[in-house]
Amino acid sequence: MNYIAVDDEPFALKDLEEALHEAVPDAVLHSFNTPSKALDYAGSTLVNVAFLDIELGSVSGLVLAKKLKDLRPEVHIIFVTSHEQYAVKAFELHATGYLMKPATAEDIRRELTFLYGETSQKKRVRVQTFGGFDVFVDGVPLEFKRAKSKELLAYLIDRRGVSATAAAACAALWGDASIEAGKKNYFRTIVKGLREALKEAGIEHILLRSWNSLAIIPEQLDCDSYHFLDGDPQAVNSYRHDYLTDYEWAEFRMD
Amino acid sequence: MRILVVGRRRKDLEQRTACLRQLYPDAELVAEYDAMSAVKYAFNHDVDAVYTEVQTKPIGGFDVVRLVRKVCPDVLTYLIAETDAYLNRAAEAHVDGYYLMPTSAETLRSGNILHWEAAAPC
Repeated sequence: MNYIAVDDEPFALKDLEEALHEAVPDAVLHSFNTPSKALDYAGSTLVNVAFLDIELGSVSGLVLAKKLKDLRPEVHIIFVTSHEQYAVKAFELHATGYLMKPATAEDIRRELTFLYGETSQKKRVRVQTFGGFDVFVDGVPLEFKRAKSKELLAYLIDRRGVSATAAAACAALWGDASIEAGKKNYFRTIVKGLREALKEAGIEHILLRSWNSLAIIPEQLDCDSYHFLDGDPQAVNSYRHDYLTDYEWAEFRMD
Repeated sequence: MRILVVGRRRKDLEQRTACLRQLYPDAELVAEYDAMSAVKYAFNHDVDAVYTEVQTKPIGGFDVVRLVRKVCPDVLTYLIAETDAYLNRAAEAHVDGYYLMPTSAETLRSGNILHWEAAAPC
């Protein structure tokens, strides 16, 4: 990973370098005290993450960020500043993060976690709720024999760890909370189908079952809507009014 | 000044926006019925105040308040609900106001039921 840090104040730049080295000891880091040097470097070398001060003498860090994005659209920008008032402008530029000075190693690790997921233990299960519902295990789509089993999983993911009783789940899946014998059996089949799909993928541990309720364990999932709720700017900006569009119970409509 | 208004029901949202327009004729009012879209808007624009129903979708009003504050730390936040069931939670979240439906210009002007003086957007 190739990082750059830009700050026109030497002591601030040194503090940032030290925090970065502590947070990510293996990262390659190049520091610059002028925007033009940073741009020259980025023009010839791939930069993964740029930590930028916002007030850089005559050139705003926001302008530098835009120029870096023009050069390297894939670069992640993290602003490091003493001023809160630039937060909105920063996110308008789709900045990945915004840190207040003095940034600590822990702050930096947290922001990088938003970029790259859990650095210590990558989650095997990735859930997509924006633009259609899908679940991937080690990059492979999870397959279900029954569509309703998949829908049940979507419903549990929507509940974010809050357990659902059979009645609540039936109300969502069929619009009817009554549990007569026939539906009870069918619901059991759906649950069984879900458990089988998870077991076949080796991820049955994401599901918690008790006597009459089901829940998923949110911490086991790398889920776009969960990142949204964490305030991850990338997740927020990736939203296109398309949350779980496959399912009526999640369907977003104006009442 | 920019005010973000979030609500699920079209009629209520339109009516509430109209009331706020009466109260703050110079403000720019942005109405959203999708709470996630509202948060995305706040992440990309300066917002001075947000009036949100508690029961919004796909995320709730408390999440809207929390997330908007993340990027607009000085934003004024007001919750609107059908009952006072969320009042304690609203107080713990330090929102600036809590109003009961149905809201009118008069309610929004003087009907804050939180037990401190609400800051007004202007």
